[in-house]
Amino acid sequence: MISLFDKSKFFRHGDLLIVKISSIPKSASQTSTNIIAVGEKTGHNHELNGSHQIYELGYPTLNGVTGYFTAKQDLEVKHPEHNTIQIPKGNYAVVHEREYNLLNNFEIRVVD
Amino acid sequence: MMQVSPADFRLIEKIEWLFINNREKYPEYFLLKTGAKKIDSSKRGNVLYGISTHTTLAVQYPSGLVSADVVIKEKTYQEAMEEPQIFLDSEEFEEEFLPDVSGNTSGRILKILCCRDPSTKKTYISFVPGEINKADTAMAWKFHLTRAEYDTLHVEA
Repeated sequence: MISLFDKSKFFRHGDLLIVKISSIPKSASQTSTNIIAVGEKTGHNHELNGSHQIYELGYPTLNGVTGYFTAKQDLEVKHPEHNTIQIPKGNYAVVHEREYNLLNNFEIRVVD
Repeated sequence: MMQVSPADFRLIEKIEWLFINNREKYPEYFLLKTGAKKIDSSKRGNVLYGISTHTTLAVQYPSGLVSADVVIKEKTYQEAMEEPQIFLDSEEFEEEFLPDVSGNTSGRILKILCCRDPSTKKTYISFVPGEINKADTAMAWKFHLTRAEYDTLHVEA
């Protein structure tokens, strides 16, 4: 497998991977929230606690990145079910966990 | 494109149904019910299982044709189509774990990763691509990482 990230620092928070990156892509747009991922089933969100700016893409990329954020200072990522983690100042990409779908890419062999 | 027989496809649909209904509360039950066999485990607590569709593929059609190339258990066409859950009783299948034959139209080894959340200690299961044979490689795949990158991931919550 070819690496999609360039010798980055990684932080896992539940179903999220937070990856340190050099800069935020210009295609990302600023948002006024502290939520980096919404808990679609439970309503429990992954939230930033500290000075930051979150950017959204609106679509997932090939490497699973769904958004970005800038930590303007060392900050915390919080979630009701997960332990809080500390994130150093810097730029980060947010990657969502993926799953393999058993029923994709099947060609059914007909037996008659 | 993966090739499967109609019986194989129906079986995988059933496994998917079992998975959806048990993944949240009863992941261990799903593993037991599907006869999943351990392939690999890691120091990080990740365990990779395989579910062989070979054990369920041998379906005898009304014409007498047996659909599977590897016949382990013979079932009638009606049994296969109407009561596919009988194939999921792990007590019926005590065969040794079969080698990976991904791409073989006679069956597949479905790979499923079992891991424990570092914060909640809750067990999670999820399917991963059939070509993966190591538990940590499966976990790396879930996060779009290479195995080497996953080995550098130390902050987990």
